[in-house]
Amino acid sequence: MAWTPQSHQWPADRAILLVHGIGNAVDGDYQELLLGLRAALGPDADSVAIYQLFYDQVNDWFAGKTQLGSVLQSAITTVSSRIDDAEIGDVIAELIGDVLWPVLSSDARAAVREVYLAQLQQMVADGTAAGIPARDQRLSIICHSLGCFHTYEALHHAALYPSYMLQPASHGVRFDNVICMASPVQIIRSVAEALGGLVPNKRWLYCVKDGPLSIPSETKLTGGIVRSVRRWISIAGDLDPVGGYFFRQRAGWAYMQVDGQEPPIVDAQDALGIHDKAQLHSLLRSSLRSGQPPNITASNPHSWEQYVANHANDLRAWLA
Amino acid sequence: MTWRPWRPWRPIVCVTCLMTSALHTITLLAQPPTSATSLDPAVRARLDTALVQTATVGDLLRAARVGDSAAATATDFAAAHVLLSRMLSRLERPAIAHIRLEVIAESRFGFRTVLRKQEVTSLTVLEAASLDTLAIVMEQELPDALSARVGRDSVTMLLAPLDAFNIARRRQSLMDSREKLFRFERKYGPNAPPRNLAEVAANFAAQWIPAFQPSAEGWPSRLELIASYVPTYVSGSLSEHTLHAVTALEVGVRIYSWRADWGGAQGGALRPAYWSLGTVVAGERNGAFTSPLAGTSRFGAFFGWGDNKIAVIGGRAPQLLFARQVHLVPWAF
Repeated sequence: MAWTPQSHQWPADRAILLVHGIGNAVDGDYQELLLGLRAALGPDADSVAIYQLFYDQVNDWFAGKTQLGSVLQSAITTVSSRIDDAEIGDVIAELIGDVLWPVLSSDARAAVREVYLAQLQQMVADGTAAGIPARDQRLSIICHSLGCFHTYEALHHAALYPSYMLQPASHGVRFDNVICMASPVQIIRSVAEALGGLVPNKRWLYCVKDGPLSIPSETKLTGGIVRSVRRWISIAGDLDPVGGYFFRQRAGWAYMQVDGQEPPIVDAQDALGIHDKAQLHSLLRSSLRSGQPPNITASNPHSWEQYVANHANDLRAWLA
Repeated sequence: MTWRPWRPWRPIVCVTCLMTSALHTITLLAQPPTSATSLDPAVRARLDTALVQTATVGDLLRAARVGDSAAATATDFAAAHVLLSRMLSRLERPAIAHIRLEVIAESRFGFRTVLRKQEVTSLTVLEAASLDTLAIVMEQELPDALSARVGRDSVTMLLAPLDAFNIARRRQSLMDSREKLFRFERKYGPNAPPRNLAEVAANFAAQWIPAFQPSAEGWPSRLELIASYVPTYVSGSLSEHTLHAVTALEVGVRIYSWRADWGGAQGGALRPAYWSLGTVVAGERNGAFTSPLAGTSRFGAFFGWGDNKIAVIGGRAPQLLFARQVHLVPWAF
């Protein structure tokens, strides 16, 4: 069945796109997250059009044709060799392996990016249909896990290629907020750099470009740079390995730091009741499923719902 | 940078022009947005989407001229003024004023069109490129330069033709994105021919060959490598009224068709989603599940039309082979 972007009628001039991470999400999933976000927004929730990007259907197209077993295993081995922790290194590497595979297929990357950009186009189109010119629309993105990688790649591509009509200066499409929760962008960058020649088509893999990770931007014809995102926020948890923390230790090669972002936010995840590495190992191990994406429950430090709940007040302020 | 003398009366004239133009724009509104009453009262001026169908090049040029005049005294606007003036001077031909912007958007004009020197509707290549640049400069420079002078609402009304043009172009771009996804689905989706392990490896390596890569703008390549062990070829002998199984190794390329009415149940056997061609190698003897490399191999070529394939192999007694593509063992052959 052909993929179609979500379309909503805008109640006002604001819209939020939720981009999920690894999983098998389909339209209708993440209802708990949606409720959590609405609760965080309070009465404002009624004046926001909330979109969700479900791209697993497209991922599935590639699952059958691109069984990248041995190459993916070499990526996981690369991760494993960088984690100097005998107790939790193996399970972290396996968990992270699930976010690495798009790096190895340029068609998969391009297809998911196309899904993402089509959803953004539809979002902006819905806004203009409600009478709000693109330049006056207040757009935000909240992304989690692998969704942060796709967000980073899609926004950079949109800022570079005018044909998508999503450039910040030439088409007035700017995002008030991009809020990344447990982003593996730096992990993917590090592993892609370590894999070197095994990563195809690096030309359009923006997270491995020279220089630090950056906020997408466009240079105007008259000079001057316009960023696609006004406020870039990165949130991680100190027990969440996908966000670059290995049992409360920040790993420089794994933690995302985007040039120009807001001061980083790291949640102390003490409330999860994880007191030692063995407990964390057990929890992460139980989330892994053979041949399927991990099952992330609310007690897992990688849980998106928990990140949203922890930052309800912040979200209300940022998205106001 | 062009020096211009200070003319204190100019802002007054400009704002007058701006409001005149705004009123003109309002008269273009075929119908107000129906959802207007439910919108945030903070957003007062709303774009009328009916303009997408009616706005013309003339409307866009008029908005550019008025905006340029009104913003002329803004700080750091000199470079933009030069660019706008240059583009406007290239678009003075009266015959183009009536062309609807939606028609131009549907012709997908852009940098690539200019490179190919294609004519867009009745615009020349230079006019098409100038119109594109004009729209870019207007969006990049006018909103900020004008907002402080005349307010956001007037900017919305003034730039309505520009927004109409961009809406039409974004709609076209969205259609392109959906077409790209249709093509990706054809190549990788549930109805696409599966790959065996050798093909997974070959196509992984092919990602470094430009012809096999997706384009910069996300269009997938039509091409896919084939490297397959096929034990299901059959060869017939008219004189002996017999059929022989032949095992062959295929190495070639699969080429996808992007035509919507081809492929799947709709296309049937006559209009398949792909065709293929390449080299076949068969062993010295006929038979199913034999080694294509056993003895003195026989070489030939195959051509596939969807799942149906025909091949010719040489040797002492050339043979015509037929096969239907089936995957007997997943990931193997």
